[in-house]
Amino acid sequence: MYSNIMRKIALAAGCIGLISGLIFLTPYVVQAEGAANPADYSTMRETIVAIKLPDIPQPDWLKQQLAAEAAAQAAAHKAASTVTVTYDVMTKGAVYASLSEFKLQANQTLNDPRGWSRMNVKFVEVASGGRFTLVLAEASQLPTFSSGCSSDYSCRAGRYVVINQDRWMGATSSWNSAGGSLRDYRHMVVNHETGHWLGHGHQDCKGAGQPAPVMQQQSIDLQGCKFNPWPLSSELMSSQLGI
Amino acid sequence: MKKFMQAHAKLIIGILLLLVLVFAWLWFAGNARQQTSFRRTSERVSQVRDLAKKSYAGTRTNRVAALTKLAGLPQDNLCRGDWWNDWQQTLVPTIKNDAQACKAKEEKLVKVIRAASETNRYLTDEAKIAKHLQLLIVDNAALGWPTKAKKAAESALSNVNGIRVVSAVKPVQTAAKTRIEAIISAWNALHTASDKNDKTAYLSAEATLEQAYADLAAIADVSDTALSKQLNLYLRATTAI
Repeated sequence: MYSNIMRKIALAAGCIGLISGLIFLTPYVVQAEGAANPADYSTMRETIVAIKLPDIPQPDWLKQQLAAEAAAQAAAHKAASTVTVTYDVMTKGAVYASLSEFKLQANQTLNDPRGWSRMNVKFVEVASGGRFTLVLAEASQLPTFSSGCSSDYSCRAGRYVVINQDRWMGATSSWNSAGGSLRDYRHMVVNHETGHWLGHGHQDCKGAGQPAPVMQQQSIDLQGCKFNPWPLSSELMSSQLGI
Repeated sequence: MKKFMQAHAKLIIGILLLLVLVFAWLWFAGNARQQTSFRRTSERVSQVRDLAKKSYAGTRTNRVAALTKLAGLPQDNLCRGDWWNDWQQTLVPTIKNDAQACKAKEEKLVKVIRAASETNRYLTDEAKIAKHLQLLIVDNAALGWPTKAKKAAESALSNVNGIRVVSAVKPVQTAAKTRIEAIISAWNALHTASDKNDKTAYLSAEATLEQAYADLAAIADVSDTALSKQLNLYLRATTAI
């Protein structure tokens, strides 16, 4: 009985001691939490966070180098994004000229690095269904393509780029009398008529002694310009291709 | 002897009375003085507890102010009495117990004040480093700022090298030196590459420089570690009081 009472007293005393201990220790537990953060006392991190390196202005030499590289990259990218234009070939009327030679030379002209290919356009001949049709036509057949087409010259009518067989085989008298070669005439006529399909109209000579624009009617009148079978840099654009 | 005592009875009684009075004065006055010192120690404990609490709460400025005040408290020996107090303590156990309790409190007080003092010195010395690091803040609106930024880094390095700090701050000082040296080295590489019009070297140095500035954060990491250690020591001292 006596020991039972003593046990209860001891238990009560223990509880009181534990509660008292918790009450007294609580402020120090709070202190421990407060002490853990160095930022509560030191400004070091704030100081360092404020230190930043601004963008360094590029020196002129670097700007020039980077610009040159960017241009080269753009050119490479442009080259990589070459536009392919397909075309098919047909004849109309009585054609005696070599069709294979016509096909070969026309393709060489179209893809010549001096020609329209400078716009990063690659011309590919296909059997049918090309974006335009290159026609080698008997001279008398020219007006059948369009009322604006003459049997004396070559012509473009809609999707048809028509080369007059007589001009293909013999150029023009003015061309010949000026000493122009037949191959150059063929370059010129293919470039000129294809130029129409690409979206170009006719142009005039820009000044005496200068190379004639390929879109000038060089077979008719040079206007003081020199014969020129290839498109000028100023002509390198195409509404048809969006270039 | 008997005659002498009879002849000088009054004198002897007077002397004895005087001795009793002196003893009584020493007893009561000494005891009162020692009790005062016990009370003052208890008051100092309250003051230290109060400042310690303040050093754990509120704004950074308030915490540091409390810590500084705590560090400035005298560490004098309040509980140490005069020789007669020791004599009293041998005669009266209660006084002896009080004196021992006072000394125990005083030891804890001294520990807290020392810990506060060391933490305060840490913060003071680290603040010196932080002040010199502020030289690295770049004003990019200024003309020719890259050259100025390099010179500022060189000044910062020189200043950080020149200060004396407590041992707890030395890791921070070393980290600061290393990081500033990396920045100066990167600036030098950038200027050299620029002089040679060497694009590859320039771009590489530029990247290294950006990294070097970003790596300054490592100083804050070192600071956090060192200060945490210091604060834990302080916490242990304050928790014990």
